[in-house]
Amino acid sequence: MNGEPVVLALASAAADADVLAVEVDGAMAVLLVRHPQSLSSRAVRERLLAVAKDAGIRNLAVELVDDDDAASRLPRD
Amino acid sequence: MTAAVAETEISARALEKESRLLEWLARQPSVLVGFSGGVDSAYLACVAHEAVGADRVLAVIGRSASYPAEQWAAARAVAAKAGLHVLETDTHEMDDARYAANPSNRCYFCKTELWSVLGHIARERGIATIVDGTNADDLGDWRPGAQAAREHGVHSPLADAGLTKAEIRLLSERRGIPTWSQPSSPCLSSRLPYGTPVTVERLSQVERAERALRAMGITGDLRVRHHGEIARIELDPALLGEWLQPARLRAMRDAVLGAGFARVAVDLRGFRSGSLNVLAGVGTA
Repeated sequence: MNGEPVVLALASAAADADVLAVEVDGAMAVLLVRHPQSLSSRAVRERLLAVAKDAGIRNLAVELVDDDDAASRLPRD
Repeated sequence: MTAAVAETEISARALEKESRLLEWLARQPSVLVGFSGGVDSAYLACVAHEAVGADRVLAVIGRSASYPAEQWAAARAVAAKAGLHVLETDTHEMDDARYAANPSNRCYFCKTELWSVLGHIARERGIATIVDGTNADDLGDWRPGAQAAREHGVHSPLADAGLTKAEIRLLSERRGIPTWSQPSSPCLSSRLPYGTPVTVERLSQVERAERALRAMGITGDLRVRHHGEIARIELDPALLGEWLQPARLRAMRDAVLGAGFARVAVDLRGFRSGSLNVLAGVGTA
């Protein structure tokens, strides 16, 4: 995961979701997670959306990554 | 004010607006309704049927690849239940390079084609007035298609009467029109960000993905937004907690992968109209 502040803030706000990576493309961001259970909590989602909004991200989405795919989905840079 | 009193007042206002609508329609010798089978046009067609007379109202369905097949089946069913005269015709907006390029005013080119075709039908049949289902809420939204309607002399009597979507649903329920609780369903091209060319293949991917998700039992508002290899799913916000459970999230992902996307993401804010507009800097979401 790269060290941009918004990426770190989103990963932190995602609580126990085990964020593998955060892809930011303009006003859209995708969180790649292994354990999405915590995201079913409205409070966690609202915290994430608040962080995203502060960073100018209007569309924030979550992508589930299975354990056996995790290594191939890690950022290469 | 209690909820019951508030509801009564809303209902009274809606009925007053409906009376104005009926009066206006009754003054038209004959009416052609641009009919998609959605909440607004179904209500308008049914009210016109009452005010103008069954034999002087024609509901016309303009078919193209940008609407899912289920929509046409629903439109036919609504028309049959209401006893509407229906005509189905093909439109060819996909052949217009200006539409296919998917600019932010894409809807203008689509509606130009639609109203050209429907205008021709109206002239051929001597129908005096063409109407569409634009409602009062639509007036504040980014709707370049409305310009095409104006250019073709199309009236928007629901908007002129000040009827909002909520009021149209309420009035539809009172009249027993089955679309009253139906989620809004704009054309499939609205799932592609502006600038992404509209192709039959992309529309088909979206259509298959949404159909697969509906087959899993997802109700309410639903959109699959096309971001190249990624499908971004927007669900009714009230259902998000339920569908973000790991097993269900996995099932959704597998269903949408089967529709031809390489990756699947679920939007954490849920459905809102025009969420792709914010990426293009037009309208709000």
